[in-house]
Amino acid sequence: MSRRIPAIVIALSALIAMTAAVLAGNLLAVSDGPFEDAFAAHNGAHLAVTGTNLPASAPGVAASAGPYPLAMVTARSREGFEIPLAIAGREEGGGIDALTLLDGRWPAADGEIVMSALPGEGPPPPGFAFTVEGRELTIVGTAYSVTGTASAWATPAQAAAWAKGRTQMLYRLSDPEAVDAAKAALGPVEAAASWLDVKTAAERDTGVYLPFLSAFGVLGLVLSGLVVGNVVAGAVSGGRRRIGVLKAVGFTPAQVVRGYVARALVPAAVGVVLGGVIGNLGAVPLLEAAGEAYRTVPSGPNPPVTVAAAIGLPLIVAVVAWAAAARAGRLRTVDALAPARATGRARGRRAAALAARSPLPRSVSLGLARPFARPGRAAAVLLAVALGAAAVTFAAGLATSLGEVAAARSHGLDVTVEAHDDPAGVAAKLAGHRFYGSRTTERIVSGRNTDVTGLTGDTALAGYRMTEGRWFSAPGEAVAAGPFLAATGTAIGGTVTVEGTTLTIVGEVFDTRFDGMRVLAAAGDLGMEPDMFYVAGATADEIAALGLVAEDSGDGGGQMIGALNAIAAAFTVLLVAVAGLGVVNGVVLDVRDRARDLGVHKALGMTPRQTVAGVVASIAPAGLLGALLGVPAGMALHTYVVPAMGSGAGTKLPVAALEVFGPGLLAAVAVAGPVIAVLGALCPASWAAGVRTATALRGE
Amino acid sequence: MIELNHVTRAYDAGPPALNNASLSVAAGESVAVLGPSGSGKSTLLNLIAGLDRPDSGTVTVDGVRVDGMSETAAAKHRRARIGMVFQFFHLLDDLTVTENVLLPARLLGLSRKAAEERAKRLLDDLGVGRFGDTHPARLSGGQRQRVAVARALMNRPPVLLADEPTGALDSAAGAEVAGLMKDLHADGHTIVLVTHDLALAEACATRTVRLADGEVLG
Repeated sequence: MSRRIPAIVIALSALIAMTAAVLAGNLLAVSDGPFEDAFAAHNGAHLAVTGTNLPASAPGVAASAGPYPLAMVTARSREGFEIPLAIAGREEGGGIDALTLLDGRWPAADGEIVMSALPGEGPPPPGFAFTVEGRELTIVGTAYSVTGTASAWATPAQAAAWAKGRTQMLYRLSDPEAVDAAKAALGPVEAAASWLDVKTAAERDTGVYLPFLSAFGVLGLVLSGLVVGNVVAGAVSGGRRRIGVLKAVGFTPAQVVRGYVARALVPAAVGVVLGGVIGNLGAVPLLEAAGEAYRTVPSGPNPPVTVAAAIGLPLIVAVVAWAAAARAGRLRTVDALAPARATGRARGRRAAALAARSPLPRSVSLGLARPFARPGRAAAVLLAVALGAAAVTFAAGLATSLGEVAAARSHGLDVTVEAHDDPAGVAAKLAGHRFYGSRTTERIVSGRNTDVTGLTGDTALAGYRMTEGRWFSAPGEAVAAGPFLAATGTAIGGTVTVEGTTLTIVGEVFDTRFDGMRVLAAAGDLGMEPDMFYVAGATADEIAALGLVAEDSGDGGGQMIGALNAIAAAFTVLLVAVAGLGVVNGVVLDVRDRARDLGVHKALGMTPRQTVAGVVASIAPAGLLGALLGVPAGMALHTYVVPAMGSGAGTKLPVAALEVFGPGLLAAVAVAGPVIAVLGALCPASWAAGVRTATALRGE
Repeated sequence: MIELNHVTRAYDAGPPALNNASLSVAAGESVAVLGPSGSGKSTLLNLIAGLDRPDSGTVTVDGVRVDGMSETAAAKHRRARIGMVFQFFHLLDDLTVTENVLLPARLLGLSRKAAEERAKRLLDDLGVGRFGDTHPARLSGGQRQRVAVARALMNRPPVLLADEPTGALDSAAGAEVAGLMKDLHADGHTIVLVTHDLALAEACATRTVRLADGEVLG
């Protein structure tokens, strides 16, 4: 037991650190790689501008393409769904923002379009038909634009027929970062899309994963170093006689130290190999998602990342192990071979005396004084418990935050009712129920393509969460998502104009759909009628009985939230396991050191249960102090990482997702430290209780 | 008081440490078990104390079978009936002399005040009362063994087991301890003393038993 546990602890901690390092490293590598490559390959547009009479050149513009006719239309499917489309009249390819046909063919006649393959969304397949302004429009293919300059493309003649004079110009800039200056130089325009926004949006997935993977990586690395140092120091202190014998037969101090370093490096190498495999396997789906976002062939895990981690981690292990084993090199042979207990140790006597006077059972008070006899080892165990408690606290906080985010993203109620043809009639039939209605369409707001949602009924039911300001309540008021406010430079209290209607922004809402380019207001203010109604506290059958087309709402949980929770849970389980094994290792070393004392206790009449209680009591202070240190550390990590994840996703998070540590959750995570400590101590305590007294005393 | 009937105990694959050994010790008797190293003396003592279990045979102490006891029952048996003195004293280095002596009483659940009074009296009686607040490492071998005896007597056990009590002492300290054992026997304690020191056996035992290769020779 005493030889296997340290090896397992080192291997597991190395595995965690390596897995997290490979995952985070690959995401870091991918976050600034494929988009740049794809942008260069397609000669992406630094600036895509909509308007009339747009200039072909301006200060800061290196090259331009266009003007292309651009139609903003609302396409309606046979089923009644409406999709806002920005249809540009272009041919395949092109000098700037080269269009790539992914499947089907390019439009050859009026009434045909190719759809843009939007990241993460499956466009309707070729053959699907829409109606635009009473005319049928058939999808004949799917195309890709690296800068997403339109949602569909048609023949120039077809687009011009619907464009009403609106055109699109694409620009390459001499300084790609100077987008604002170039835009200003172009003069007044209707809308302008910067390649930097596209880049940010493309990098959002990785931006969400990076902060928390980094957090787990740092926790894993610190725990690795701690565990390796503790294990090697314990092996040195428990192996004095062995060290003496080795030196007596001719081993040099350096050879002795190297032996201990090797004892740490071998299991660490196993952990590094396994962690490398797991990290690379885990990186594949994440990289595929990133590749999909950039429309590039997924490159797969980045070998230099694995190589760097596989060199760096063992190097850290070796340095820590060397530092911990240096004492073995310095130990004089004659001292190492001398009986270990020739004199009594001075440490911990005051604590032992105090504990002896406590009213606690003697077996417990003996254990409570124990950490003071070995303060270094006790500190290492305490740190392991604290890191485990921090991981649990962080993960619990993260899961709660993600739950709040999922709730904030879910706007469906119990029943969904379609109302494409007669919204007023549907609303009238729902009069006895609690419901709200909505309609979303794409408009140009403050020069930006924006999803505009009009709401009716009891809009509080929609469950939108505010990150700042308040929900709209009076005519002429609206709320907008953070990315929209940032992109348009609009502040709360400012105004936006939607189709000629001026609305005052009274709050920032948490809404990540359409990359956060979202404005929400009362449907009446937007001149809209809802096409969907959402009903609370009813079943689809009850609503269908009113003569309406109704269905039960599905679960709106996001894939990414599920993935984040799964990864966080896996890392937490591993970290807690390592923390627990760190405790096991510390207690095993302590029990070995105390074998004679435990034998004496038992010879004097200490029962196995009292022995277990004593050993568990020796770890109790570490459990309690570990919780006291670990819980605030986990909360601090949560406070730093969760907003960073939101920032990576390009949005602020609702307060409910940030301030998650209420009394209930705190009470739940506070037990993590004691539980890790006690569970870690139970196994060696039982072992200590089971050792034959005669054997323990003979060990002297 | 103590009955061992046809007891055999073997470790690993080697020859048995005790081979079909039988021994009877009456209440108030002081028996010295003599024999060379490896003859099975310590094994005999461990079996009486319930620190070890025989492979076969029975061990009875004060009318109670100890050979089949659970670890918990054996621990309680030692608390109530056995006092042990070891060759290397086995005092706990991080506890003071008084705390070492108090330990068996505290495990038994005695109040600290009552236990302290008895510990002080015992230490005074054994001539080490002035060392109550000292840690064992600062005492001489003879003083340490006196402390160990005080600890062994703390719970007033009917049986005192001593495993080479003078083995780690110089001759002067050894003589002190031998005198102490004799006094304890005179006070009515039943003593089983394991030693290879014939002089010690003659000084404090009423009867000697010889062990060789795990067998009781008489």
